[in-house]
Amino acid sequence: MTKLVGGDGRTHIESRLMRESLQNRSVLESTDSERDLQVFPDVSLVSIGGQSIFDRGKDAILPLVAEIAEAKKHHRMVLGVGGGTRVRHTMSIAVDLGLPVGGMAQLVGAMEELNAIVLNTLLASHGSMPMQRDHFWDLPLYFDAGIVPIAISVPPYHFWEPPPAEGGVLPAHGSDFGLFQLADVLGMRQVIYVKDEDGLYDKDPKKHADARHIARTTLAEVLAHPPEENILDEELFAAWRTAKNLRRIVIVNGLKPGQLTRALQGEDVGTVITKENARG
Amino acid sequence: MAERKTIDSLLSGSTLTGSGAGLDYHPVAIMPEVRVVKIGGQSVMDRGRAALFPILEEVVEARKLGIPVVLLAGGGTRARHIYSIASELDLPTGIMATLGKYIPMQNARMLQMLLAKHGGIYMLPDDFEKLPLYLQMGCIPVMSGMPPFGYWEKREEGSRIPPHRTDAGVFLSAEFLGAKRGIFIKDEDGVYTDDPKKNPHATHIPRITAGELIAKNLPDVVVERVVVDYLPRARWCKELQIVNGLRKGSGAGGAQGRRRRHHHFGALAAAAAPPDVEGGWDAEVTQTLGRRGAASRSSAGCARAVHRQRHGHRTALRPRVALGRFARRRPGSAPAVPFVPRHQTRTRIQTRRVPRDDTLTK
Repeated sequence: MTKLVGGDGRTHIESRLMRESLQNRSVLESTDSERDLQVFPDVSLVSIGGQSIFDRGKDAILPLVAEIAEAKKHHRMVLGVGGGTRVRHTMSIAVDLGLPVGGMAQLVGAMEELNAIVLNTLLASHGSMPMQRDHFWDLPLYFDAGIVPIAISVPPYHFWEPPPAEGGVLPAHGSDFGLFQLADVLGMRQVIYVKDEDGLYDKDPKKHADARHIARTTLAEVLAHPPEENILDEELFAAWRTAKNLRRIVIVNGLKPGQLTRALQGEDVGTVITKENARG
Repeated sequence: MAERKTIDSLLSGSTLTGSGAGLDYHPVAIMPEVRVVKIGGQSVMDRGRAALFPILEEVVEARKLGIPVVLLAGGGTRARHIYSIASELDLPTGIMATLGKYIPMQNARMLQMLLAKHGGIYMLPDDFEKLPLYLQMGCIPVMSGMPPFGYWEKREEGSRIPPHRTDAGVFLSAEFLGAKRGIFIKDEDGVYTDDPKKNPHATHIPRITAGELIAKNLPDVVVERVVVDYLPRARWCKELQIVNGLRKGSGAGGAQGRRRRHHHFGALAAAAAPPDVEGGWDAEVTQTLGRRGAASRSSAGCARAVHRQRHGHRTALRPRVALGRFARRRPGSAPAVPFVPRHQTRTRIQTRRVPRDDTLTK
């Protein structure tokens, strides 16, 4: 039976962290360890790009839906979607109106959710469901029933979005980051970002004919030499630096049928970014 | 292959990351008059009514005088307990953050129950937008201080504990609302060089900027580190006011305790006409108002407090006296708060039992 402890005017429950302010560095380090519990280690998270896939309409969306419908029979995955041009438009208006960064963060998720609903209408007959915000504990039920769940991608920072680094105006935590966080906290196998390029390049291949494709790299390398224009949220890489579980991010071209399936099978396709020293 | 169907906008081609240089941005303050006040978990709630009731009386008095207040609850010992157990089980930070948020919710519910007859109303994060309604109706909104990050809380290097906890929730709420400061009711006189409960040689820091505090790299700090890191980036909430809800350890009632109440009453009232914070991005972490305002606390105030304790509600502040306190205002400050008729001040939180029919006893 745990003890209640008094004596300093407060009633404490006996524990290692009793009376701590939780700011002391050595106390905090004592809470850390080499490994985290891996909650869903055999699940992949698949993010379907907003600007890169959904904004292209049915020519891009339908072949991917067919590929997912087939792949879900063999691989456990959670889907997520990006927002795309409507997000950018929302932010433009919000900036012009002078809304605080927390207000912008609260607004953008709605645009991602539209894409999630669209995706769900197309996949429903093959077995899909939109997930409630944090109902991860329903996942075993979904998988058992052959359902591929579609998660909410933008994190729920909402009005409480932290102020951006000096000079910044826009919220830093978007859908790429949100899905990464989800995969990391649940100890998933990998995150596959489905975009409209073959992965990472040293510069934007839409604008530079001489852009060089990067087939395989590490997080350390990306942080040391960031590409001029990054296809993924910068905040994702910053968070990955201190995250403990996720080992592998793959960026594939959703306009080329088959790349997503190969990535789900664990093949190196598109761009593979690994993190050394990640537990798992 | 179909082209991307875009909507033309200022940001249409961009990746949405990077600095906002070149954007025509003029931020709007959402509800800058709201006082965002934290009721400490370990520092106040876990001390029980001896510490909490005097603080709540002051909040109720302020609210009756028309000052809009929203209370955010801290966590405390139960949060530390669950963090300990979850650490042993190697649970990831995001799961710890989700576990940790239940305790401030409990504390917020307790506060709401105690404040219900004075308009206390419980808010979930999804209700935050209803703040204008609650405040217009004279309510005292209460919510958990924990930001809603949950599973999406980021891990910081060298720790499993979620970095954004209830201090961060208070700061981020104040920042979103456009309030100039966040008020933290704790059980310390502010910032020290180390935890004064553990290190008797810790020295007190009366006034410091966020940049200086970061540079000092102290082993322990009274407010969450992320808040100190964010303060220089804030557009609105550039000042943290750390108020000692107890005055150095003794949580007992009595005349001593009553006089202490007036100190945090002062903290809320001063926020009605806050001094302009000078300087650019560096914000100030200021000392409890009790220290600054000590000179203005009269012996008459103490006498009233003692009288009230002896005679119950019959000696609730008479409007004349209440306005008197606010009559001493700096030039150019906010206009007078509305007069509250005496019969509306009748109910109050008692620290001792009152008869059921609410008649007076000595």
